[in-house]
Amino acid sequence: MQIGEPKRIVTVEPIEDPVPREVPAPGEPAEEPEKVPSEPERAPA
Amino acid sequence: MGAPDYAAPIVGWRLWHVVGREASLRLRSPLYLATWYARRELVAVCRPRTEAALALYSQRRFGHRPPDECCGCGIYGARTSGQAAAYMSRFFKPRGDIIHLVIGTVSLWGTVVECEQGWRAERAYPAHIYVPVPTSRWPSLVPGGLRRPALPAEAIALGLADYGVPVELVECRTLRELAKTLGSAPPTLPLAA
Repeated sequence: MQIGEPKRIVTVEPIEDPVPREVPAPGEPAEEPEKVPSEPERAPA
Repeated sequence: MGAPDYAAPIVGWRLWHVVGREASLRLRSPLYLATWYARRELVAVCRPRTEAALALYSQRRFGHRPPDECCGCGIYGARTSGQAAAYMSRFFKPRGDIIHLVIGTVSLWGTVVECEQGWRAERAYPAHIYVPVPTSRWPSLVPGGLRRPALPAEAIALGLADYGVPVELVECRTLRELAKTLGSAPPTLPLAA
């Protein structure tokens, strides 16, 4: 396909993924984010 | 590394062959026969096409990461549907494994060479697929007529739903009519990042 001569080079980094990735099958549990342990409460002085 | 030029993909027009792959339908580049897998971006590879080109192979010529400004490599997208439709006549010839020839818009990103009438990109994925449905009773007798697909157009559209992007049937008699239906308004460039 003829698209002519190059003019310039650009960088394209989409914020949203242009690819509709695989979705989990029905019935599969959705991934839960890792739980980060909270800091223990400081003992009262 | 500096900020990217654009934060949304560039959208161009292009063609694909529809072929059968393991009981599914898949898109394939008409020229280099690269398979476009469903739900996975296509990443450009620079490789020589012919034996003659292989004989002239050199690391300097083909050992770069596409797209390269001085090489013709990359995943192509045209600015208008008319350009892509005009190219259809070259690849709308019957071959054993080709089920149909479809046209559509393609998202292009990564490193992109902007050209006078289109783009060559590092990465790509279909954005919208149009399945031509020839309406002429004898398409081979119509100048610029569209050939009948090897499967019903509705079955092709259903098979291409695997890609997770809109798939539309477009009734038309000729390539010119197809281009007119799709419109020749150029896709707009995304806002700069």
